[in-house]
Amino acid sequence: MKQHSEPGATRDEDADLARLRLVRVEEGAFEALYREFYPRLFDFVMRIVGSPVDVEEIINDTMLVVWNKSDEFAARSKVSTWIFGIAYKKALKRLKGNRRLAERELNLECEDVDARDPADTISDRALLEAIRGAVGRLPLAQRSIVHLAFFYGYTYAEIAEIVDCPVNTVKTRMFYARERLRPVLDKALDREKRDGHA
Amino acid sequence: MDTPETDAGTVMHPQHAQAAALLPWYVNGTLAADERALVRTHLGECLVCRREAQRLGHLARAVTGTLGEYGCSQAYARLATHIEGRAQPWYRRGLRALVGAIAPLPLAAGAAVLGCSAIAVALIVLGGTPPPASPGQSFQTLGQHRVAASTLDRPRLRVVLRDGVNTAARAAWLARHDAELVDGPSAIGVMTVTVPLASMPFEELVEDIRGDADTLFVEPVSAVGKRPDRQR
Repeated sequence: MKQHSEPGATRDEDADLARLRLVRVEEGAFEALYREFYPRLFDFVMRIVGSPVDVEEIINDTMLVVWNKSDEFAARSKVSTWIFGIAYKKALKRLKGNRRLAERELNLECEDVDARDPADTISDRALLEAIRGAVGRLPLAQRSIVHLAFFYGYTYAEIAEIVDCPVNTVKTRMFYARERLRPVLDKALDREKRDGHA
Repeated sequence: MDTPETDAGTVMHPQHAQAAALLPWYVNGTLAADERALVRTHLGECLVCRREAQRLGHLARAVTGTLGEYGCSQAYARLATHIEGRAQPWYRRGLRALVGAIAPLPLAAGAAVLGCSAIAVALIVLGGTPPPASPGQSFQTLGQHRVAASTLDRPRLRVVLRDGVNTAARAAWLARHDAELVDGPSAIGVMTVTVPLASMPFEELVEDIRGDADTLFVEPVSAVGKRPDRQR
């Protein structure tokens, strides 16, 4: 089974499935599953809602669904894909309940990436932060796909399942995200080229 | 979907659009073998995609890194408490709801509600299923709790606090005794906690907890039905 690279956790889908199957029958299985997923979901939900205030509640709403529906999970997808999909929907629902955030996050056309070019003298650290900042300013639909691909290492098919859209939509959103990020990523390439020639 | 750049000297390849769309997943290493081969072959021929792959490499490195402290234990305790609350016996929840519904009504209306409720309860008993158990409620068995040897330095206790002890008071109780909540409180208020042995002998520790004004019941739990202090 493929092991995705993931900071702070080793993804073991077989273990996740075993824990899910035992949630209702073995003491501690639900807590183990919860503890396994909490850090993963924390980062994911935090990147969607942008505030730690709602994150725990969204995660607990998500895991409550997992608790209630664990018997119904048919293993047609990975456990993590299923759980991330629930979390994504819960986070979107929360965003939609917050009009101010929703206006900012859910309107794909309203906000462009800040295309300020990092100065030539910018440090590596600042360049890294500039890239992160640009990712953070992507519209939610694009930002989620960038994180699911590069932070969590999901396939495009898994991402499509998590965000509940066709595979081609995932690729299209990624394409637009790449377009928006190109200016700052070009700076990184220029830096790399210059350092390589130095 | 993708429009290839038209850099001077760049030859557009027929599979450019397909390979370009797959590049992010080539970089994150999740493509199937045939798609990976397609992209790899294309990268050998396309300068535009090689540059894009380099950009995506920078992007992948930039978005790694976690976002800080998680507070997982407290969050889990809150969820477990919530589930326990929902998992109260159906007759207890039903009775409470019934009393709440009848209380403000005149006598005749109350009798009607009572009659309908009795029919509903009978239907539930005959054909319904009980509500799902909670994480703690399913497994609570005094004296038969499986305990790893490594946890004996922090023996487990079953504890019931007095009625009226709310969440904040329970947290204060745990802090007073340096206790860590392992499970519960269940629907009937039973908690499993671990406590450190280092501070005082086990007997004294239990007596100390028993003497707490908020403690209603406390008993040690072990793997073989013996008290942890007698396993040594």
